[in-house]
Formats: sequence, C-alpha cells, structure tokens
Amino acid sequence: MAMNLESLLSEKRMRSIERDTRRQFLTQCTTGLGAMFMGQQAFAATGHGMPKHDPANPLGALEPHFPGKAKRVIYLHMIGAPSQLELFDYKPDLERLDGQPCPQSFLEGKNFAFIQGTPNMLGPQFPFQQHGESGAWVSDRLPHFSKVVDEVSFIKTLQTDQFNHGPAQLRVHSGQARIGYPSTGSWVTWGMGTENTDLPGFVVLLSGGRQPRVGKALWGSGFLPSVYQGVQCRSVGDPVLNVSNPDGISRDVRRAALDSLNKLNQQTHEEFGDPETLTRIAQYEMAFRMQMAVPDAMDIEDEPDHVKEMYGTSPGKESFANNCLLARRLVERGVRYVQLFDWGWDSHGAAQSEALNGGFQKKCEEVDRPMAALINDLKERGLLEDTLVVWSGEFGRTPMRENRGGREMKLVGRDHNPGAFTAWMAGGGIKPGVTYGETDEVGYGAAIDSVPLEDFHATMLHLLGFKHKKLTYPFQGLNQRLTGVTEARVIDELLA
Amino acid sequence: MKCFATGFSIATFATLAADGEVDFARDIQPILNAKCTECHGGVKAAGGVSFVYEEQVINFEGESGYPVVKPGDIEESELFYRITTDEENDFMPPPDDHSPLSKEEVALIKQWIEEGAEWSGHWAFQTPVKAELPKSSFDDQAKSNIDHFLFARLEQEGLEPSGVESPGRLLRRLSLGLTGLPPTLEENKAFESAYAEKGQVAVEQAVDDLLSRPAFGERWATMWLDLVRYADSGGLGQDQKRTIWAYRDWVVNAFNEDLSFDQFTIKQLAGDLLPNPTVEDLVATACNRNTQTNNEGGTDDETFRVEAVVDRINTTWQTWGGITFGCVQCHDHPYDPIRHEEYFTFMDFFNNSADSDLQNDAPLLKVPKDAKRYAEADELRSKIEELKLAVWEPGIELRDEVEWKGLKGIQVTSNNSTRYELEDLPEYTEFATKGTVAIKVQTQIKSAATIMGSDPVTALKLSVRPHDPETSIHSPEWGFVITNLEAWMVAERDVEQEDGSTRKGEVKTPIKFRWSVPDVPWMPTNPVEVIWKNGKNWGANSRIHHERELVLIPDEPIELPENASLLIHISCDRTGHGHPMVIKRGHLSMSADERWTGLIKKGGALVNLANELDAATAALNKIPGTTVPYMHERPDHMARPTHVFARGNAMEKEDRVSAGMPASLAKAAPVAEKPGRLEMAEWWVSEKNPLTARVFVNRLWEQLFGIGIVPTLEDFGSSGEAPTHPELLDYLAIRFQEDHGWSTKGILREIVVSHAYQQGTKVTPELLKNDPDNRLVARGPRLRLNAEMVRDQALAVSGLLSSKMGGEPVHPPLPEGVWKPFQGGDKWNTPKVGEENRYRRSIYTYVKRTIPFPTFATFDAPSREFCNPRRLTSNTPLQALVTLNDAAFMECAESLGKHLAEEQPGTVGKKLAAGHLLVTGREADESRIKELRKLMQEVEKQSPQQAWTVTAQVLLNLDETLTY
Repeated sequence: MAMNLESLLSEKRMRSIERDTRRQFLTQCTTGLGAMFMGQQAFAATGHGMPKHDPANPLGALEPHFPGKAKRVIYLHMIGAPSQLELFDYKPDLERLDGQPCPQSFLEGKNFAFIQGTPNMLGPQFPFQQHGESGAWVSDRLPHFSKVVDEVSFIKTLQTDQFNHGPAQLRVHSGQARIGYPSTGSWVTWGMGTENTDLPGFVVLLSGGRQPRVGKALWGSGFLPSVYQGVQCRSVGDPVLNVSNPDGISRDVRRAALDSLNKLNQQTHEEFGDPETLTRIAQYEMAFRMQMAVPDAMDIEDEPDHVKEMYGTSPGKESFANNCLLARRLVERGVRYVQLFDWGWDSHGAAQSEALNGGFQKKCEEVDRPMAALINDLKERGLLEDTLVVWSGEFGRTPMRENRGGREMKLVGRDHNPGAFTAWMAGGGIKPGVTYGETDEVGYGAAIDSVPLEDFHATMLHLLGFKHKKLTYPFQGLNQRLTGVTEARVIDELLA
Repeated sequence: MKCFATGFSIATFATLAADGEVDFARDIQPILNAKCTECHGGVKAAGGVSFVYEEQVINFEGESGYPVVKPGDIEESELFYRITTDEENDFMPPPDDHSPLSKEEVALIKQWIEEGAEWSGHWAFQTPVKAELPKSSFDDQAKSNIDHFLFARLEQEGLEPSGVESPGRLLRRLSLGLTGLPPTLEENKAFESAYAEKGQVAVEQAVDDLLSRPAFGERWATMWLDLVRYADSGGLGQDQKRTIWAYRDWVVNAFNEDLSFDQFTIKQLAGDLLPNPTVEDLVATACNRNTQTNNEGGTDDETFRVEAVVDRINTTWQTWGGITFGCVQCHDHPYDPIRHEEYFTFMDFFNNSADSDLQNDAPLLKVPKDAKRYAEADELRSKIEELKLAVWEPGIELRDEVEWKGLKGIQVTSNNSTRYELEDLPEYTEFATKGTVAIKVQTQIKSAATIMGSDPVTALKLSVRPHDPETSIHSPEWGFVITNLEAWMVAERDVEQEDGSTRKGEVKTPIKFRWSVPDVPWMPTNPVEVIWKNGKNWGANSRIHHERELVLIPDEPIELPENASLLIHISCDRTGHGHPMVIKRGHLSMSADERWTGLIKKGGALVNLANELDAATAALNKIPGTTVPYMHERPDHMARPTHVFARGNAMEKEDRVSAGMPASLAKAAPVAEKPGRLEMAEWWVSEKNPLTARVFVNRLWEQLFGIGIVPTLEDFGSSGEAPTHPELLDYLAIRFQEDHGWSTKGILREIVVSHAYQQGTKVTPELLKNDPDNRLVARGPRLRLNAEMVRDQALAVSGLLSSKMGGEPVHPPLPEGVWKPFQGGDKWNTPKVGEENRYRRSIYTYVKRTIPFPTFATFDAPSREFCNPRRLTSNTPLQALVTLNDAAFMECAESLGKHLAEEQPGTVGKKLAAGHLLVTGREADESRIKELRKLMQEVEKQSPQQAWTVTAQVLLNLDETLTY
C-alpha cells in the first residue's frame, strides 16, 4: 500500500498537465447537462427546504439560505464525555464539598448509569486559573489551549436528554437519539455541497484506538441521499476505501482503461440518450482525480517541520494531532465538514486508562497542543474567520464521585451527567472570548441560560447561513430537520 | 440523482378539473393541504376548524359562529368569504407570510361548494374500484390490460409508446428484474432464437422460467428486508450479533413458494396467534423482532421496549399501509384523518408481547436446521406448551383456593447498605426498601411466628410488588430477579455443651423446597429447580408493574414448634444494565392446607407430568438447529396496560386505551369486534382494505419501472403524490387481490409481459425534458442495478457466483480496516479464495447496522435501522472506486478476463464480443470491439499479463453493465 501511495505522489506533478486536459473533457461532458439544470439557485422557488442539486454533480457547491459567516466546519468530538469539571467549568464550592455525602435532593428522580446509593461529592481534581483578556477559566491540564482562549467562546450549559453514550452521541450529531437520522455533516453538505469535488465533502477522522460505539451512524446520511454521508479518511492503510488502484494496475493503465470506458459510454449516451450515462462518465473522472487528491491531502509529510512540531504529529500513525493537522489541510482544500472523533474520555474511574487520576491526564496531553495549534494555524492562514471549529463531548460528568456497586472505588472518576456540559466554538462568525451560560454551584445543572442541543444545532446552522426550520427533508410524514420538532433558538449572544 | 426530480410539480401530471365536476380528492384536498392545514389541520385546529375532518368543516360552526362550508351556498360559507374578502384582518391565509389562493384555486373551491361540497375523503382511504379498460389508437400494440391504461394516458398527452426492446436487452431486463441476476450467454442465445420464432410466447415462457427459479425469492426478499429492517445485529449501544437469519430464509422461501400475500401478512404480524402455529408460522413473526435493542451499560430496558413497540407500529403502517403513522405519535395527523389517540389504540396490538429489550433477545424459538424435522419440533413444542400448562394449572388453582395467612411481626434486614421499613397491614406485614438500594441484595426475613398455630406449614407464598404500586402502572419500575432462595427453621432448644450440661441455644434446620408454583406457566417451567441451580433465576425481568407471586412447597410439611421462627434469605444478584434487580416491596404468607403435600407426592400425577415435560424439553433441545427471536403474547392476567402518551412522550401517560383501528379506515374496511393482534393482521388483508393491495403492487411496479404509480411509496396519504394512473393502480390492486388471489408471481407476470415493460429505452431530448422520470412510461425502464445486483452480477458473469441458498450469514471480502466492531467477539472471517461462502449472493452477507458492508452502502443500500420504504439512487465517484478498485471486484475482473481469454472460442474480437454480450445483453458493434482491442493493445505494451483483466474491468464498469 505504501509503495502505491508513494508512487502516486511522485506522479502528482507529472500528471498536472494531463489533468487539465481531463478537466476540459469534463466541462464538455457537463455542458450537455447544464442545459437541464436550471441555474445554481439552490433553494429558489421551491418554497421549502430542498436544495436544488445539479444531478450531474450532487456535491457541487450551493448557496445556503443567506450568506453565513462560516464556510466550513471542523468538529472535535471527545468520545466518552470529558469531564467539564476538570477542564473548563471551575467550581470552588465543589472543592469545599469534596468527600461529603451527596445531598438526597441531587439524587431524587435522577437516572445514573452506574452511581448507586449515596455517593460522595468530588471536588475538581486539578487547579484552575483564569487566562487571556477574556479571563476564561481553564485547568492546568490544558496549558497550550489556555493561550488561545481569547479566540474561543464557551458554552457551559449544554444539555442533553440522553445519559448513555450511544444515544447521546447520536443526539449531538444527528439531533435524534436513534440511529437512522442524518448527521450534521450530512445536512450541511446536502444543503451547500462542497468546494472541491475532488475530495469528499464530509470527511471523518478517528483517533484514540477505537471506533465510536454506534459507528458509521454518527456520520450517516440517514434518509438523505447516500452521497452526503461522511467518508472516513485514514492515516493507516488506504486513506479512503478503494482509493488506491489494485496491485499491479498502474496509473497509466488506469488512464487508458478510463479513456476507453469513457468512449464506450459516450457511444451509449448517443444511442440511448440517458443523462445518467453522462453523469456516470463525470463520476469516473472525478474518482480518477480523487485518487490523486485524497492521498495528496492526507500526506502530512508534506508539511514543514515547525508545523508538525506545533501540532505534535506522529506521521504514519493514527493520532489526534495528525487528525487536527489533516483537518486544516482538508478545509484548506475546500472540504465542507471535517469531523474528528477521539476515543477514550469516559472517566468513570473504573480502569486506569480512563480514571481522572490516570489516563484522563494523558488524554489531556494528547489533545492540548493540537487543539491550540489548529486554532493558531487556521488564524495564521486566514482560515479561522470562515471556518467554524467546535469542541464537545456527548454529555457532562457528575459532581459526585462514581461509586459503582455502591462502594468506594480505587480510582477516581465521575458518572454520566446529561444536565450540563461544556462545548467551545471558535472562528466562523463566533464572537470570541465569550462565556455563555452558567452552571449551578457544583456544575450539576444549568443555573443561567441552559442550551438544549437544538439551540446548539440551530446556532451552528445559522453560522453557515441556514435557517434551521427551513433546512428540511420529508421522511415518515414529517418535514424532518436537524433541530427536530421542538422549538430552537439561535444563540445570538455567541454571534460576532 | 433521480431522487430530486420528484420535486417537479404534481400539476404536470394531475389532470385538472377545468370543465366537468370537481373531484374533492383530486381538486380540493391538495389546495386545503397546501394552504390551510398548517393552522387548520391535525396539529393545530385554529378556531376549532380542521380541514382534515369533514365534521370540522361541513356545516361546522367554528369560533367565528358561521358555517365553514355550507354546501351549495357560497354566500353562507365562511371559507369562501375568507379566501376572497378585501378585509385584511379576515383574509386567509394570513397575508404576512403566506401566499393567497390562486384565481383557479378560488374558482375550484367555489365550484365545489356550489356543487354541494361533497366530502369524498382521500382516495387511498377508499376501497379500489374496477374501471373499464380505456381505449386508444395504440391498442393493437397492447400485450396486457395494463397497456390500455398507459396508452390512453399517452394519447391524451400527445405521446406514443416506444417500440420493443432488442431481445438480448429484453431478456437481461427480465432476468435482472425478476431474479436480480443477468442471463448467461447460453440463455441469451436460446432466447434470441425462441423470440425470433415465437415472439410474445417466448417472452411469456422466459418469464415463467425466471419466476420458477430460486433466485427469484432472493431478489424480492431484498426488497422486503429493507421494509422490515432485517439485520444480523441489534443496533444502538452494542450492536451485538443477533441470530435471526432463519427469518431471512423464511422470506426467501415465501417468495419462491409464492405464499399468497394475505398469508404472508398474517403470518408475519400474528403467526404466533394462529391455531396450532407451525415452526414457519412462528419464524415469520420474527418480522417484528428486527427492532433495535440497546444493550449499552446503564440503559433503561423499558424505554427501549417502548421504542421497539413504536417502531413496530410505524413499520406496520409504512410497510402495509404506505401511511406515515409515525406523526400520529405526537399529535393528530397533520393531513390525514387519523387521531392522536388512535396511535395508542393501535399500540395496544403490539404492547403485550413477551420481549422486553433483553440482551439475549428472549423469547427465542428453536428452529431445526433440517426442515424435515420441523414437524417433530412442532409436535414437541406444542407438547411442551400443553405440559407446561398441565404442570402449572393444578398449583395455580390450589393457590387461589386455599387459605393464606400473612406473616406478621417479621424482621427484615439485608446483607449490605439496603434498608427496609415495615408496615403492619391487617393481613400481613409488608416490607419495602427505604432510600437508595444497593446492587446484589440478600433480603433476610425472620419471622417469630407461630401463626399457623400447631398446624404444619405446607406452602409458603412470596408476593412482590413494585416499590410504588401506583406510578408503576403507568411507568413500570425496574423489576427483580431472584437468584437464590434458602430457608431455615430456627428453634430455641436445649443444646448440649461439651461438659455435658445443657444451655438454651439456636438451632438452624434447613427447609428443603421441592416444588413451586409461579404466577406464569412459561417463565420458567419450574422455578424452584431453576432458582436452586447455579446461575438460574426467577422474577420480573426486566420490569414490574403489578404484583408477582411465587408459591414454594416444602418437601415435607414444616412443623414449627413453639418459640421457633422461620428464616428466609432471598438473594437478588442481578443488575439490569447497572440497576439493582432486587425486591423492593413484598410480603410472605403461609398455608397449612394438606392438599399441597398431596399435590407433589412422589409418583403422583403432577410429578409424572413434570418428568414428561423435562423429557420433551430435552428432546427438543437435542434437535440440531438455530434459534430466532419471535413474538409471544403475555398471558391476559399479565397484559401490559396501554396509555396515550401526552404529545408522544412515553414519560407522560394519559388515558388507558384498548386495541382498535383508526375510525377513518375502519369505515372503509370493517374491523372485527374486540380485535387482537391476529384480527389486526387479518384486517390488513381483508376484502375491503383500501391500502394493502395498492401499496404492495405499487412497490412491485417501482422495483420494475424505477418509479411508483404513486411516486411517494412511503406516503399514500393526502400529502404524498397522487397516482399518475389511478385507474391502473386500482386495476392492479384488484387483479392482485381478487383474480390472482394475492399471488405475487401472478401479478408480477402480468406486469412484465406488458408492452410497457418490454419497450426500448431510447429517449428523445424532448421527452426527457417533459418526463425525465418516465412517469408516463412512453419508454422502457432504464435503471441502475441496486447494490446487491451490482455485486451479484459481477460474481455471476465472472463465473464465481455460488447458488447455495440460506443459512448463517456470510462474510465476503471487505476492505482492510473496515471491520472494527465496538464489541469484540464479532469476527469477520473471510473465506479464502475458492471457498464457496466467499461468492454467495449478497442477500446472505452479514448485516451489521453500525458497520454497513461498504459496497452496499456506497450503492445506496440502507443500513436497516428503520423501515426503509424506498431506496434513493445516487451516482457518485465512490461507486466508481468500488467497481474499479475493490479487491472483490478485481477478483471478478480477473476471473472474467481469464474466462474470456481461455474459454471463449475464436479470435480476440470474438472473445471480446462474447464478453460484451455477457455483461450488457447486446452484441457490440464494430467500433466498440475496436475500442476494446485498442485498449488491450495499449495495456499489453505496459503490463501484458493485465490485458484481459483490465479489459474485463472496463466491461464490468460499462454504463450498460451497471444499468438494465
């Protein structure tokens, strides 16, 4: 595989002239279709939320409902739900309550995944400090990130109604707790296509050693056409499934084969007149370009050393740092939506690998530098202003110490808490340096300005130029939308 | 991207009233839906007016005090005033952000009111009527009655049908259309000559042959499995493996045996409730066990049980009715006359099955591997059912007859932090947990009782109730599972000391129980035995909403001396996803009735029956086979109550309801009195049902023509698209239901022998512009192969395809790094090159919901979480990467290349021509052969050994290969 990839890259320059010729060919191909596709007015005159795609190029860029400040999204999801109480939501009162039995009022009517009986309160496990001009509180686990807080806005009171990982992750990414609904990335690429059709419009990058438990459902297209589902790009193996030619098939041979195939298909079109045939020719050409463009985009060796160092990348491996750098490379090339998932944040204290006094600290180290680097790098390149960067988990963690089985556990951890969790956003029309919402004195629930996920989604869509109520698709008798049937509010306070 | 073409307007094809009478369903309802129902509909009925219900419109005085519509009188009809007035405050729809009715629409409304405002209701809610065959000047070309309907419409539109397709391409269409596989070269040749000789007769013979092939069932089962969301995994949290393939095989067989669609329906929805159900009848009910289960730690089984029930409701309505019933869960249907409450009356049909989101998918049915042993298994299973009842009934009768004395003055403690409070009731002392409950609780009950006086105790009864008996009726609590139960008699006696003296001391004598009588005959058979055995248990798993009882009968009557007490330890060690499954409220009672001892006498009738039961169970277990989760109704006395959920929220329950059908549909097709699930199933295929036959023939039509007569397969309601050919749809529905006796093969045959299906596909730019989706069928269908066909065809033409049917799902090659299941243990072991399971038809590929098979997902197969009524067809670069680069397709290309090079006779040109014919059904002309030869020569220059493979790749990727 490596050989194949290298040879592809070395070939890259040599082929650029040839590629231009192919482009011309393609233009000729699509002019026939152009006549059929009435203009680029994406949502014009349909009166509802169906974007009007060029059937020959379903991923072609479209204008959203109104000009949004964000043109693309990088979403960093910490799978397992990182503890807001150890990172961003500083609670001095909780420190004072450390070790005391939890008041019964906290427990009544609540569902917990693992807490039994009466647990004890657990104070913040790391020291906090205020940073930057905005004075944002960040714990000492994120020293690099602390330096970019003035670029970032925090939501402290995100709320969900799911307290299990699978449904909660789905809720964050598709608005629904069940599998089978389109993910945010699918809604967005369906709504506005992508700016570089040589690359997938919606890319997914995984790190942390495990897939999220509901797998592809987190980046599925649900009832939207399958072309809008996320495409997983990998640092190890074929960067996109089947993007490499089979062993022994050189790029020249492939070119020759495609030339023949195109000619035969052209004949077919002349004979039968089906426009799908022309579309197919265009797709095969696009695939050929993708075979070049994807490995090119995924090759971080390309980057100068100081950039690699800034992110802390480890080439050839699967890491969050690599994925942050890849995310920058992808959005730079016009990819619409880049979704990162980093596994390993479920700090129950049930195992060394995830405990707050164990693996959690390593996870913090793994993400701290790259998160900061991503923001700085995007800013330096002038990309931050129209790239929305979002960071979150799927729910929060309890101010109580987990006591699985009703007993004190050896390691320190917290149980799931849907009542409040922290997300941050940067760039893409976000007013920097804002903290929105305030949790109660122990960080258990929202005290001021709670943010249901619907509002969070509505805000993301607004930044991209969509009215969340208008981006709809009919399925099972409902005009389905990311924000579901409940009312949602765009959080104006976060908008630049 | 054909899918988006549906956006193009209905008006193009709906014939407008213009002159002649106004038709409510055709002319008026679409206007009301578009302009009025947003505020005056099912979700919101402003001023009490809803244009969904006749009684809220015709002669109905809303809050304004005027009749909304007074038939025959536009002056008195508020509706007409509102849409025409100059008074800005009264004008409807409100002008700020709505567009007014067009002149034509106003005219139609006026005409409708003047003509008497007949409220005929929505077309799909009325039983189909047979129309007379229309006539047209193309009738001499007609090969089936279907053509007359299509031709008449073509003539009306100034179009004409296309000529007949070439025989090779026709056979390819028939073959892929009916069996999902392309014809062989031999079949192609045979058909060419038969066709030249016999024409239509040859077509009919070919169709009969194709319909009789096993591949037929495999192709049509795929359509069905999308609807019933078949998968080999559970979905959600763990997406664990689920063994349910026996159901998939049942569907394939049902299509192959042409099981009539009414039986097909009844068996799947209620096969378990048929008299003396067979193994097949029960396997069919797994249809509704394809719902997702969630086994993630900390999940709430009841929540996901309810989710599964909701999914069964929505799937049933979607699959059989083409109705988007899901929206009625939260409110009245926005457009169609279905009330919010009616969702829950329908829920009651499904609310009482025994499954409850358990990890093991219980209840499971044993299915013998060898179908020849089905009868034996049937016999054993019904014997077991009978014996279970026979063993259970005498005990339960006795339980209800004897006198019980409740235990009072008990002490209750636990082995951990769980605490109890006691309440003295007149009959007994009840214990209940206080505060939070730990997991793995042993409840220790001590009774200082001599309550039976001097009578020996012959039976002990444990009664367990929900912690909050009142709220649990609405929202069942976590239940309890007893994993061990031990009892002792504790007597104070003189105990001899070492020095020979005696002192008072406690002596514990174990009490042995030998028999028990649970409150249900079926879970488990014999709890005493089960509780005693390591790892076995009895209780309310996973939910409790009413009292549960267990009678325990000791080996011998217990003589309780004065001063003696009874000590009972009940261990509940299970957790339900982390929640303690322990007894939270209960009491004990005793009986001194001598009949208990008699009941379980050794050598007595009951003991003999129990032995027989054990033997029968062992015999059934011994038959080699698989299992399948199936539907099993809970007994009446344990029936779960069904409540209306306020705004669809399962946490907020309102009035209790009992099973029934929506009134608007019951009007067309009467429902049995006091219907149960079986009567519900029968209703779907009852004579007058307006939906089922239409919906199903429309699905078949869409599979063959690429677009339904009702293009919105998923919505036959008034917000879906109207049928392009309503009379044809009704004709097909009636033919299917009455003349073909619900025979799927019969109706399919009638469709494919039509001229319409046999037309050529060539399309002029003008026709393309006016009818891009080919709704009027002025040309033959030209469709992209579906996901399964793409792979199956590649395997078939390269000579690799296995014809082996059924059995466990298989694991064909998939790209490296894709298979990373969340849970270990679910291995993807790909058979080696040459092994049969590597080349099985796609329908047998393991379906894991969270890791869809990449090739299928790329070619638009759904991942089967929910009922998928229609696949959207896309055309993407990722598809090209699959068919060009995927190792499995490369293997096909190599094999096809080798076949052409080594086995096809003649020159290179001849070989290439054979290859072209094989993959497209069409002889290649000279220029195409030349192009392929040129390619071969070019590849030969670079890597000669690849020449045939690369050429075969091109053949496999031709537009004509990927379409049919």
